[in-house]
Amino acid sequence: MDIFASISRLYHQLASPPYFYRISGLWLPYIMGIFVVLLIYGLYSGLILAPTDYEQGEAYRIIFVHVPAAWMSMFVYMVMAVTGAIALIWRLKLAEIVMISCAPIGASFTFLALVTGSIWGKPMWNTWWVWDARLTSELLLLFLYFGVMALYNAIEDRRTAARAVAILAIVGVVNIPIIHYSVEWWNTLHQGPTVTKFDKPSIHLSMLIPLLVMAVAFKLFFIGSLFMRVRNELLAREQKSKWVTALLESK
Amino acid sequence: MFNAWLQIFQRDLLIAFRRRSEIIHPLIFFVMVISFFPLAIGDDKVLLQKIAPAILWVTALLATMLSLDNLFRSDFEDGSLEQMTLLKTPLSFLVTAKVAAHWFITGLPLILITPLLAVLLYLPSESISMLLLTLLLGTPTLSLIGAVGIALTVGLRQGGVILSLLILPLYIPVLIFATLAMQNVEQGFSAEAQIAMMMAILVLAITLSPFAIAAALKVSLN
Amino acid sequence: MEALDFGKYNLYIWASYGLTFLVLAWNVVIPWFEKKKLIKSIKRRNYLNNNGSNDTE
Repeated sequence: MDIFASISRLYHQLASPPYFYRISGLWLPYIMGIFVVLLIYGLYSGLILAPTDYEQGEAYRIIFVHVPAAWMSMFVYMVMAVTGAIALIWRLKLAEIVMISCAPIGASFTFLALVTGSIWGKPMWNTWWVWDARLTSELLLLFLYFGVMALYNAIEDRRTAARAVAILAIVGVVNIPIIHYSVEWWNTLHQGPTVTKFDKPSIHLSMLIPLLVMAVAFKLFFIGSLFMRVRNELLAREQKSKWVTALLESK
Repeated sequence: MFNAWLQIFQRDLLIAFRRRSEIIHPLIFFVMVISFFPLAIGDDKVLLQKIAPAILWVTALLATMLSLDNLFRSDFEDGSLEQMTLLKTPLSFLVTAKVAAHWFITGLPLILITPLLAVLLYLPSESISMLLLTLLLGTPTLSLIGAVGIALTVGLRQGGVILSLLILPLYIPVLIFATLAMQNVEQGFSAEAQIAMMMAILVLAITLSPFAIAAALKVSLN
Repeated sequence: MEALDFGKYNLYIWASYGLTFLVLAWNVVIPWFEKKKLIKSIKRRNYLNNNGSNDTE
């Protein structure tokens, strides 16, 4: 019973704006620091250490940014939808703020995945775009992000806006398994699953490692950028409160 | 409980029949836009035949989207929507009555007039029956998904523009499967898989969207 | 650095990595500028509230 009580206490503490602001502020430099280290190592092992691919030559190296960006586009959406559900069920203001802060970050990763994929497609498959299942559903994901941001900005009251957006985000979750399984369910120009299969991934270790390192780096970056946006929003909403005034006096 | 459902269903149908424009306008839109294509392309039978399934589906989709505003707006403005949320019967159950009525008013007339338009576009009769099947499975799905969108935006000023941004992405899978089914039939293959997927999407929409619609309405009524 | 010369794919690879850098930078720079703007405006409002505005009458 004790452990549940302490987890519950931590959960409630985290939801308090000054506490979250302080804790996220403490973690932020370390998160970004580790991100930079991983980024440098990922870039080095991807661009220099990894060998030339037998089939694709050097162009395959775009994979080290394209795939992590695509993974992030889906991961961020799930975070957005889950925090949206939390915001709807428990009416937590912090969950609402986290949810809406995810949207621009997720949209930018989706955009990055689409464009790097397009750039990769030109030399490899001689096309900037193809309307297959995976590319179409990823484009749809970008539209969903835009819809979320548009709806949030259209509603004046922020709490009502958050609740409306949470519903939209949850409805859009159906797109995520479509994106993920699209290469298994349909014949697509896009490559089939190589990493997330359950047996041994069919990608060479020297290419897998930079890929995973970049993926982790991007995840840390997401958390860092998210913290920055959430902290700003907390400051803006609570600017009349004592803790903000006290904080700003010391700056 | 079913009494309330039936009453709402009948009330919406009655209102629509009294205000015929609700039924006629989307139909006129549908007919006119379809006519634009042979006018714009010229009487190219081969080309028109090829694009007929696609433009019929896209235009039906757009006509449905335009008609969604009627679903909740007048009830929202005169307060009957709020009254519905106060009833003992769950709102998610009651909204299905409104969406069902909406399909009768919008989707069904679209399906009934499609054969005429298909003939205007030189579509062969085997394709017409597949087109009707896809519309039969697809338009209820469009009404259900569209209802989620209009429920979210009914209280907004610029609601119409945002509505399209919200639900057009969600309409894309329905459009893709419908037109894939048509292409398969045209090439002589079986469209079983696509029809099965459209049925699956319809069932998913029927079971899940009422909750989303009800939640969205409660948010809009704030 | 010949290791960083990718032959005919140079443009594509550097375009992709460059775009990645821009997206990452955007996600850091925007919140950072927002924060500076925000702190400035909150401080200004607090100052005005405490000391009264500079209007005469």
